[in-house]
Amino acid sequence: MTGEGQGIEAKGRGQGVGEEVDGLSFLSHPLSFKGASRRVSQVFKEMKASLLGVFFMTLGVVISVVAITVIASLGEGTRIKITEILREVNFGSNAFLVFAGGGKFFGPAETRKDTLTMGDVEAMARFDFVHGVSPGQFAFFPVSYGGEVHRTRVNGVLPQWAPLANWRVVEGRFITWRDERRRAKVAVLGWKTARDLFGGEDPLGKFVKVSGVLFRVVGVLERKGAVGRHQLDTRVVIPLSTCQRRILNRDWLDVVKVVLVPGVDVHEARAKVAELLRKRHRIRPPHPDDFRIITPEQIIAFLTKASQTLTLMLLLIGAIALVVSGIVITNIMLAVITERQSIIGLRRALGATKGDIMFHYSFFSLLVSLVGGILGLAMGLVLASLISRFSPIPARAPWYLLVAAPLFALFIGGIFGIHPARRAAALHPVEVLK
Amino acid sequence: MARKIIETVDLWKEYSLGDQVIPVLRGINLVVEEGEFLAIMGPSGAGKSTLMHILGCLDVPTRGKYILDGEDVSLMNDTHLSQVRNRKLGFVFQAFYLVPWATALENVMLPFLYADRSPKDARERAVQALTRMGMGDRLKHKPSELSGGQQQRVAIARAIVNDPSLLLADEPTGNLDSASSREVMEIFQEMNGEGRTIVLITHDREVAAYASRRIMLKDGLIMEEG
Repeated sequence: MTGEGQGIEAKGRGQGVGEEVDGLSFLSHPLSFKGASRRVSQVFKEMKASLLGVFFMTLGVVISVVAITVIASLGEGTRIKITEILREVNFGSNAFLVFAGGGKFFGPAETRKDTLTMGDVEAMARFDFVHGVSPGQFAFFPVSYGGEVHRTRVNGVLPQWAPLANWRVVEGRFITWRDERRRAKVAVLGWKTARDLFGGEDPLGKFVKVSGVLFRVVGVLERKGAVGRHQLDTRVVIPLSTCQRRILNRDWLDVVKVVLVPGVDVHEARAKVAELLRKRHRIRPPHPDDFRIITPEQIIAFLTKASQTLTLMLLLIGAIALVVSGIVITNIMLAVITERQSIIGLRRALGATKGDIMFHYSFFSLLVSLVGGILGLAMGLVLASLISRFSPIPARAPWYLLVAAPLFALFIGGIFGIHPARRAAALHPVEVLK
Repeated sequence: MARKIIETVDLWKEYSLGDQVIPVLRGINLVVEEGEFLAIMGPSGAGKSTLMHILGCLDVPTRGKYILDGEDVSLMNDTHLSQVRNRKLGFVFQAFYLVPWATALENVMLPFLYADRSPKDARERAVQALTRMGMGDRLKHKPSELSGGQQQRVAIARAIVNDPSLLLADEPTGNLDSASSREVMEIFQEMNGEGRTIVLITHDREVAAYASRRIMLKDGLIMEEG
């Protein structure tokens, strides 16, 4: 009893295999809840019967979603950490920095640098939207105590630096106006510098040598951490006048931090300061600025740019992996359907429409991908928090990930499940029931 | 006159192979009345399977008319044919086609899955059908735990659970030993005795002998009745 039509194109009314495989016809007659739940339980039973295939389909999705979750969490964690630390040193949304020398952001100066002076600082301080200004010089020098030598950033600043940077001393005191007036050879050490030079020893009253000049340590700053790879706690802070006269032997400033009165628009204030400086430095169009104004957003963007590019690339690879796992779903589903084709034919003989079969196998792959997505998200979050616990990389899952990861997995399952489900629905019962 | 369950009028089925048209059924006129037990016999290649597929609404004719239990099904689309199969037909296959991961009871309940409205007593009806087949003590058995004859009895229970107008059996004893074959054929005969309309397809004269009426199919035509 062989099928006479086998291998021969059937010529009959409405015989086209593609007919009605819209896959939506099961929506035309509404299912009762009980009917739907019994169909869903059919899918579960069929999944249990092909556990190995389900395992591999799920595995692919889980691995890609874990990767995506970990990468996104570490990227977001780094960004948030940087923002938090900048806010911690009072460099949030209400402040900006004026650097000497014009040019591109963080590039080398393209104009003369020696034009930013205390006169500019005093003029800026006269704006009523300015809460405070903190001028400074900085340079790198070997700093030594006993046998220990460390090349460290040396900051020459005024006493308002500490409150404007929201930076307290944990031992001793900060620089005073008296120190500034006398060009005193006193230094306040960053937390890590104090540790590096003195170890467990109390640094207060001891002398450190900076560029051949001995400075008495009068204080140690509190610990702030790092912004990206930039360590904030390695520095030696000395009075600005001492730095100008005894270390750098120049008057012009490297940087001025401008802190605004709360509620002031940063961009407006920035424009006014720029205008003031151009006027004071007698710069006319088309000549460029001989200074650079940099906002915290720019710093964050700069610091996270490299890691963000990397994060994006890794996320892209994760997404490609997810697509690959989608292809795995397609192939395993096709294998499952080939193996089950006589049962599909049987279901059709018992009254299942093409839509019913379509629903059955679409649900199958959707379920696999959803479970894989949720499982992958959960495992990824655990892994990310483990990584951040045992390494300095902070982890924070961005909120959108919690929604996007399972949805994306579901989407992949849907897309890559359509083809096998359509093929199952298009199986002609006559061809598979022998 | 009894109700006509099957009525075909000049039923043709043709397949095209390249530019050649091969007729498999060449004008079948067949009437089966309610309560009949008809055996369709014939050599392989005679068109038995094709006729069975059309009678079972699994395939549609190229030309001609097929009226099943008062409903013209020859022009129906795939979805409507599915519904007709669900409501009016019961199938018994040579290879049983039981779902391997489902119990006997779950297998028998399968047709209700695709019914527009599943009866409230679906489970009860499935248990009854299985009990009727002498399988009442094996409801929870998987097909792999049953003998061939038992599997075919589960399949028969599944075919009658919807109380179809027509029971179609395609070589139902083809995979069975002679003892089981006899058992199964006796069941068919019994069900026919209770008024069920059955169409049986077989090439085996001994099996066909259980039917109340036999026709011979040859080269796509009904050659002899008797």
